Amino acid sequence: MDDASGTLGKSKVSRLVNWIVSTRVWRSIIRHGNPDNDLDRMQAVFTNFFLHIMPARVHVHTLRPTATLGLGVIALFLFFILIITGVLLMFYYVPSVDRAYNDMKDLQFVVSYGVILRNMHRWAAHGMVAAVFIHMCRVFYTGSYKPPREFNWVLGVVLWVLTMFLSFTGYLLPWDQLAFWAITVGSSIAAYPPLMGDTIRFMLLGGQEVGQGALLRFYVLHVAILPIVISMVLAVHLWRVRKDGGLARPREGAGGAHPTSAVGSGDWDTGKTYGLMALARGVTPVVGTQAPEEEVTAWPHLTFRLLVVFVATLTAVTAVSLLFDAPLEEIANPTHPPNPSKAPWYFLGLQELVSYSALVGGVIVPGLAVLGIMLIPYIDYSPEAEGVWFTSDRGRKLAWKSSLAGAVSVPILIILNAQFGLRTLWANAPQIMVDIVNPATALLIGMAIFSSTVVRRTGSRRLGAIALFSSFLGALIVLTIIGTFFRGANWVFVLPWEQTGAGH
Amino acid sequence: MSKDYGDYQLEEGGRGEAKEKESVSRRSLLSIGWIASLVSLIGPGLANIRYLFPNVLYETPTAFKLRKPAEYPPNSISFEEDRRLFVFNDRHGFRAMSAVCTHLRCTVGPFGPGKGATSRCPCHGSLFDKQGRVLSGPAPRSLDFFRLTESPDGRLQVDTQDIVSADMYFKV
Amino acid sequence: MNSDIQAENHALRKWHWAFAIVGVVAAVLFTLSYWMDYDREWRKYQRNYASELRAILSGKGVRELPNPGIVYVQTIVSPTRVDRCQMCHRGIDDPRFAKSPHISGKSRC
Repeated sequence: MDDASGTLGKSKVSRLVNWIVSTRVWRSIIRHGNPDNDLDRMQAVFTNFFLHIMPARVHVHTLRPTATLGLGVIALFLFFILIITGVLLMFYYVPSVDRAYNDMKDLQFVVSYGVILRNMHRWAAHGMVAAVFIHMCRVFYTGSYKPPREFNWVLGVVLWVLTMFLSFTGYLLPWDQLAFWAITVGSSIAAYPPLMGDTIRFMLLGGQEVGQGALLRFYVLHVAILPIVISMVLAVHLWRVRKDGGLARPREGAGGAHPTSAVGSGDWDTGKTYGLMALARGVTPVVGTQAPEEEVTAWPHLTFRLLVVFVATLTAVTAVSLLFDAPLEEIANPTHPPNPSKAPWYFLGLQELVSYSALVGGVIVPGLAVLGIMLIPYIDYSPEAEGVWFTSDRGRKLAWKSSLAGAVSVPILIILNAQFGLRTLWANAPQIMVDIVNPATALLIGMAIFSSTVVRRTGSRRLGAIALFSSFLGALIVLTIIGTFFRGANWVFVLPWEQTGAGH
Repeated sequence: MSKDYGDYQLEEGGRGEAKEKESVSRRSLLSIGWIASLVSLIGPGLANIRYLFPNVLYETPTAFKLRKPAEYPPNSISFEEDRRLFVFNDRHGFRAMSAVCTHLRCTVGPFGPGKGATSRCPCHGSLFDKQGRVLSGPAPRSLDFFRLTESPDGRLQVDTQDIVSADMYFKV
Repeated sequence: MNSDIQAENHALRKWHWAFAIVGVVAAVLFTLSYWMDYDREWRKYQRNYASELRAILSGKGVRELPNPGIVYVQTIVSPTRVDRCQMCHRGIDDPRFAKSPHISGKSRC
């Protein structure tokens, strides 16, 4: 702005601007001056409702693209895009088995900008599932779940599960063949937990089959319940990032002395007065030991980056939406499943496991995976190299090796199962035996033995966690690739170019 | 306004660095970025407003068929409930009058028997005569009359977008 | 001044470039999406219909040629069923178009 006043001089425009910003009304809305000095820059962030979630000053490490890859904010911006496009789509969509498919066709053919909005909603949803998952991997590999951030990691895992549920419930709404059969397959998995499985499925579908009741339930979950829940968890997640002292970053100085001032831990009766900032638990930018020289004001260093990332995210979603139309197949036909019937891609790894044993693949593996991931910060709480990718060179090598091991063991197990599987050797094997002896169980046991060996050999729980998480990741990616590209009609092996069915 | 707070510079902003020789100035980069970003945010915003105006309506069409002329008794006023209109059949011929109050679109009440019969709107009490004229109440103008024609299958046909004067009769 | 902060100020300059480039790409994409939403496939067929209709009528010596324009044609069969064939195959129920290339070969909906 001072550049502007230089060139415009005392022109009428700049005098008008000056007058407006000096009025009582303006100053009641914007409480700080033009942010051209550090105090105003900090006030700009501190006094603004939408910006106050950010700290007034940020550490330069946090701003480096390699520190976070920006995945959390990308996921957040995708969520914003999803809310806006989703609310707009609600103006035309009626969740009725008679009208839903017709409304999709209307959006596609007769509503102005209907196609692009629907495409953006679809692709942003897939993007959010991916971004949230990769964000979780980033937080894991940089060790950012260490104390005091343990519970925020748990909240993050909850957000990941909620994101998948949001995507899954939205999947049914177009009421085409793809939607109907993906949900028929997916909701049948919900029936496998012992004792309550059928009850869960009945409650989810509001009936014995996917019909009007299920469509309405999925709609209410998709547009009301899950968005409210995810927004609240998200708010706490972001709030805790601040309260836990900003993003994790490597400790400074030799020895890494890192005093934390927790409420109640210090001697507060010193006659000193404390600002609210001093009460924040953990290492806040104010109470930490690092010198303020390593911090810059959030405005513009952080806010500007966020702006660019937002425009970039919007651009990417728009570009994909212009290139690829969201799939819309024939109207749902409960008598003729397409062959193969596939779940959404992020569930295809599970569907691959389900094809061996629905109980193990559909319930035990995902249940243990989510629970195990949630428990990571309570098993590995060593304050070792937080904010450092893979902790050390050793960790980096281990991560590569274990993900490779997980990735390779999947096809080996699948081939072994095809050749010497229980049902091939003993056709009438009881179901309980099939549930115990199958690739999914073997994978679980293998990972458990592998990671506990790593812990025993290295004495580092962090390395054990890296081994477990990486082998899980490698196996999941390969399972998803197999489920997506190598499974054709009747779920038999095909090569990707022999695929006939459609799926997304 | 920064003067109010005094000089509180802890560090020089990006501006000091930007004085190095730069082929494109910071200002022009930011202007390009802001103008383009605003185009790509306001543009979709306007497009989304256009999206809210449907191109196809799922409403009853404005042109529709009524009964055959012979089914309306002579010197009668028939109320077509579904279509919200009155059909007058008197010695001059047929007329179709809207039963939608010109005040706030409530359906006006039935005409009583007798010559000076009136119709009263139940919502705010506007009173109309058989010529559709407002006798009292808040209604700003008379009730509309629609053009009547005969459809190929011999039934009366109305188009509610085709408004005619109150003395226009359709003769069979 | 700390070297980290110098590096950060240098990095911000790259983000200014990124902002300008990403912004221009976004604006171009929006303009493109506006055009793609306008230029739907069925508009082409309806333009063909209009020119064919005018050709048929001018052959019959009709002076004032109608301009049927581009419309969203939907026949509402019932509250839950809509017939959209005429969006592309306008004139499909018009005997004058029985031999028209944009109708013939298409089965009736």
